[in-house]
Amino acid sequence: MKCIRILGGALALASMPGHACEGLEVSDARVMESPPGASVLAGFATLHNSGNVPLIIRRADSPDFSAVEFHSLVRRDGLIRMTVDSSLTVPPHGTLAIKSGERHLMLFKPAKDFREGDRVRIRLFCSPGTLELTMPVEKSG
Amino acid sequence: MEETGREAGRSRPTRSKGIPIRNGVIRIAAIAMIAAVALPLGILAWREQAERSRTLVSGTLLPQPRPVAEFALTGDDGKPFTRAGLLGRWTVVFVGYTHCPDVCPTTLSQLKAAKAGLGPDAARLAVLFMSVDPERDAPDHLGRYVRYFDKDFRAVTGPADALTALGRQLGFVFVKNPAAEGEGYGIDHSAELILVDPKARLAGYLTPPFRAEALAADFETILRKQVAP
Ligand SMILES: [Cu+2]
Repeated sequence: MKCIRILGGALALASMPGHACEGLEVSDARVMESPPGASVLAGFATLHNSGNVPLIIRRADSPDFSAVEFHSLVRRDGLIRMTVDSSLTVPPHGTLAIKSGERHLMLFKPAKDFREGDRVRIRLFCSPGTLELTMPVEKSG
Repeated sequence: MEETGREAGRSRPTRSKGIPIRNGVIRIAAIAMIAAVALPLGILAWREQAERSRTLVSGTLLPQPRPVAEFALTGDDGKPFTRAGLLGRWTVVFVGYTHCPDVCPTTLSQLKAAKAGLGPDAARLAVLFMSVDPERDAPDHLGRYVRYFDKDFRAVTGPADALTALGRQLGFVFVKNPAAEGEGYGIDHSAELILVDPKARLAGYLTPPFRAEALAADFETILRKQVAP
């Protein structure tokens, strides 16, 4: 029992077999727990590209949310603004950090109130291929 | 020691009896005098220094606090929230909206952590989340939202023009940004924390990026401040 649970945890972030986002490795994937009734959640992750060419993620979706967008935070003239990025580019042999204060996966209309310990599924569409992620929900701070 | 002293006092002649007592009285009187002069002086100097310091770890205090005029918003209990709601305690105002999944929850979490570090003094500091998205943030939703972070946090919102007017007084701005979300709109907003003193006067600002420890230190500083009438 214990072995299975540990194995399950370890595999949670691994990609689904048979699909490909060649060279894409994802670490630190997590979704911030939000107040009950929150209409949007933020997802974070570190994307690494082990390939020789830029890796472009065209879009994302999730069965747990009505929509997934790539958002950046821009600070200008004392104002903070969320902007939509049409795609994400991970440089060859490089990293793109989707991290708090800079970028997030904007997760719209959660199917339920996700709590710490829950897992949400996100699918990234690369060109070519897809990568399915299972992201644990964590408390912020 | 006590035994020996008493023994000595009893066995000695009257001549030596008075001297230690008189010495003691003089010494006590001297200490009392020094204390009477130095202690208030020390407190005054320290207070003056605290009054003069305009710089906080994460922001600044205005040289002269600016009175806030009357305004009419709605609290998370659905009741009117006016200038009177700012009286009696220091208030940290954070401008945002609940459709903001990163900055707003992160800041509220930091405020919670900073406030927790204040101990009993935390009761003298109010945290007020000011939603500039009245269209989507109904009062009861706001109440549930902020109390997820801290049961003492309060939230307030109101008509856009009332928020704009209060923004002019408190120095915050917000702009609806239809392009930000594919499924709605975003609101660009000031990210500073606004400090309002217990007399409902704008006292200063804290600017991001925030750290809970620095915020806690600044809250301690402002709570120590003597608030002039
Ligand atoms: Cu966003």
